[in-house]
Amino acid sequence: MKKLRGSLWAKVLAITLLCLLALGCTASTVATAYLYDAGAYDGGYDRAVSRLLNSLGREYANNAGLNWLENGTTDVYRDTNFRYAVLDAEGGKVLYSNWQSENALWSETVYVTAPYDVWTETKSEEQPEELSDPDGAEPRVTPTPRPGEPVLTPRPAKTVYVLVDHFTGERHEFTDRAGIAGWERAHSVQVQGYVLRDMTERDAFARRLELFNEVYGLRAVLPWLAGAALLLGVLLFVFLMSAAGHRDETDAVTPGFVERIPWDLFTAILGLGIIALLFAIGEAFAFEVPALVLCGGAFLLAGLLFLLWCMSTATRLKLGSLLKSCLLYKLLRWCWNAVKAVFRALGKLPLIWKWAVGVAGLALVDLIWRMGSLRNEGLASTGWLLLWLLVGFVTCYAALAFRRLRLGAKRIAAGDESATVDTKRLVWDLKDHAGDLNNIRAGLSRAVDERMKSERFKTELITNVSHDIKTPLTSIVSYVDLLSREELDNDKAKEYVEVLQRQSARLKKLIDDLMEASKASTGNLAVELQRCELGVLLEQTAGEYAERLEQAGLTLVTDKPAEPVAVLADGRHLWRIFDNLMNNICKYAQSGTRVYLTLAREGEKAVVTFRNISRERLGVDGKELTERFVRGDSARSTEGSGLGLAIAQSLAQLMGAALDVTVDGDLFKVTLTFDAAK
Amino acid sequence: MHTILICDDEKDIVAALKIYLEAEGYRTLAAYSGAEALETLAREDVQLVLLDVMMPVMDGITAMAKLRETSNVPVILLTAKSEDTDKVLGLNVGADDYVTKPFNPVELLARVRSQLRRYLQLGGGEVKSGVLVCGGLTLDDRTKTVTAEGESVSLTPTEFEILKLLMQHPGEVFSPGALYRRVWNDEPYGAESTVAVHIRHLREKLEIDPAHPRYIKAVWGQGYKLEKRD
Repeated sequence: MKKLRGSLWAKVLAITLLCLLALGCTASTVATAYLYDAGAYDGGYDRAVSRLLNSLGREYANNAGLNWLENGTTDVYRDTNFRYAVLDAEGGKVLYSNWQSENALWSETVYVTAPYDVWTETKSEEQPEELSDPDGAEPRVTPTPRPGEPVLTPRPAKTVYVLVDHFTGERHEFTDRAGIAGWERAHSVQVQGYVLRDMTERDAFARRLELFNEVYGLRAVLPWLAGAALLLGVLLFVFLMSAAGHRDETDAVTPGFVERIPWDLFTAILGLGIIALLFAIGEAFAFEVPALVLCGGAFLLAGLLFLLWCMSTATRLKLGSLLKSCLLYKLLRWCWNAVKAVFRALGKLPLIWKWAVGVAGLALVDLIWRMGSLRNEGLASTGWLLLWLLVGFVTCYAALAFRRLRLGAKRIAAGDESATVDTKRLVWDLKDHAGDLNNIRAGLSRAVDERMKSERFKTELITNVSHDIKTPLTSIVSYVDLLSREELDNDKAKEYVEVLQRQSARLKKLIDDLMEASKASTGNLAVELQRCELGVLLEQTAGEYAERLEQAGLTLVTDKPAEPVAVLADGRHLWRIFDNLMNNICKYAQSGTRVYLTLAREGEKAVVTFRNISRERLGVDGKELTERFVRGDSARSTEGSGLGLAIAQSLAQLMGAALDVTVDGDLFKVTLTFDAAK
Repeated sequence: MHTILICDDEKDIVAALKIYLEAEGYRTLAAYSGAEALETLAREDVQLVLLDVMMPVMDGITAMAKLRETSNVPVILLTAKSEDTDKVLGLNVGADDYVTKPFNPVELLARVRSQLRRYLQLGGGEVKSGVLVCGGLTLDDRTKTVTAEGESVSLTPTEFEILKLLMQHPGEVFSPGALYRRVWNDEPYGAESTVAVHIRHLREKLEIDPAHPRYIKAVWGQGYKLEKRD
């Protein structure tokens, strides 16, 4: 299917086939409809044929009658299969006949009257004097209805009917309708027309009958043919629609030459073409072979154009360019952009100018409207000018007041705690609003103060508690040390002392870390930003940790760019971050693996990454790890405080750097991103 | 025998310190407040004071300020505050050294020894030519010997060269690359981290607490320097 979709030959074949099917379907549908209408499916052959020949036969009979009436010409249709007999108006007497009581395929009686005109005339001398109708001298022409129609209302005696015979040009005058009827009777005949069953000539009747016979012979198949053609046609149509826009075996839809024409223009051109063709078909249609072929061709062309439109539309829909390729869309878009540009330009104007332009615009519109509605008495009068001046003044005042509020709000939003909006010369709601803004500012700075106070209090609390804990801890550490120096003959006691030593050391570390974490996270640390070369720091770190890494069975791999990468940072805090991270690596990395410490410059950023393979399974994700007291694995609780990463992150933030932890399986990765210094 | 005054409001800590110092052969005196310490100092001949900073009645800083009016006896502050500002304050008021609580006994004893030696033996001693001195560090370029707080330290030739360079330019920061070029007389070609390793070894040999060095300091992201000390 994909292959077929891309092939040009398949498409051409499908289009050709579809045209044929459309033609076939239309023809068989029309034929079926005709046959059905003619009663070929229930009334038999004769009735259908008689209907087929009826219009032509009547035309022939009428013509024959007229010929007879004009000059007695007989045997008009000599070389045809048409025969006729002319009878008098009552049908009693045969005046002429070439009908030899043969077998008739069609027969009908037609009443023919010689053509004439009738009108009424009023004699001018009999016209009453008082009637001063200027047109009275002219004959009043009233079209007279044909016989059989209701008789006109009787005229006054002075009116006469004038009848003119078209054949002879003779003029007759009658005083009543009966005279006309008599004339009519004298100039009418009945014509009995026949068409021979056994045709001898190849005339219009024969050609029609031949065609009919062909169709009639197929009457059982025709509906099925129409249905099948329709079904197949629909399938082909669907294929063509799905193939539209595909050039090769790929799935991509490629726009062609036709798709470059704006869709609406394309639709209009094709639509006009199709409509023109259909009109032409309607005009030229006849049951004649050349006409049928011509109409068929035109119909095919219309179908092809429609197909082209469908395929192009399908391609555009697939590409999603239907709307965008429309001229109308482009025009609207252009307008919209223009409106937007104007609005943007207006937006850039200072506030007061915006208002001024608005008022001036309104005044202009008002002026134009006044001119347009011809109320010239108001135009440019003093009153009008004064009114607009007043409007302008009020607007400018409102704009100025609004500007003051706007600037005040901006300053408050920027966090300026000393910002106040001057309420002088402001009225009503504007004044209230300015007051509200000032209150917001006051509330904000109060909240900020309280927050600062609470932060300070928190840090102080932690610091004080730490100090208070440290005093007893000093005793514990000292006496445990003293105890360990004593001669203890009990092995268990020695073991317990060791535990005490280890745990008191841990407690000491915990308190130090806690203090540092609290200070770092509240920003209660002095930060002295200096130029630091990260490359140098990398070397220093590598040197500091060379032995510890070796002891842990880890290989350190460092990588840094050739040119120095400098950042602005506090060296001590920066070292603390590196120290914490390397400490973690020594503690938690799988021995026998490599540790990667890389420095790279990425645009305006300097990026340091620490990567190592974790010994234990890491159960949490990177974000959680930087939170306080969270460790990668609960089994690690015997070592460290769980604050290392949190401290590192707080310190990094304090220096305007970002610390991100990513855990990918066992790969533990810390990325430090700094703004590179110039 | 040297006499050391221990001043802390926490009796247990005073007792513990007593045990350590007496085991080292020092005579100890105890005071439990700043005022008491000043009284004892007026009475006794004391060579060193261990002074707690946070004490009731009179805190360590006040006591030391008073003490310095009359005496130049070395004072080591005991402090629970580990903030740099507190240390700087203490040193500015006239303390000679500080130890943060909870202290490591070995470290404390080393500092006590160092201060006593400087006060009693090196004080005013003439400096021989060709000998570089910085605080408790001395380096004799002719005999290729180094002493820290009076004790001889054995260094490798590279460590010796690095220390010599740093002691010749006290307070000056050398980047690892610059150190490498000056000491090895070669371009580092990425071997700068060896410098850091040697620096660390130097620190371990010379410093009482290598984690908080007093002489050989790292200026992180820049290099290393020798802190100026008299």
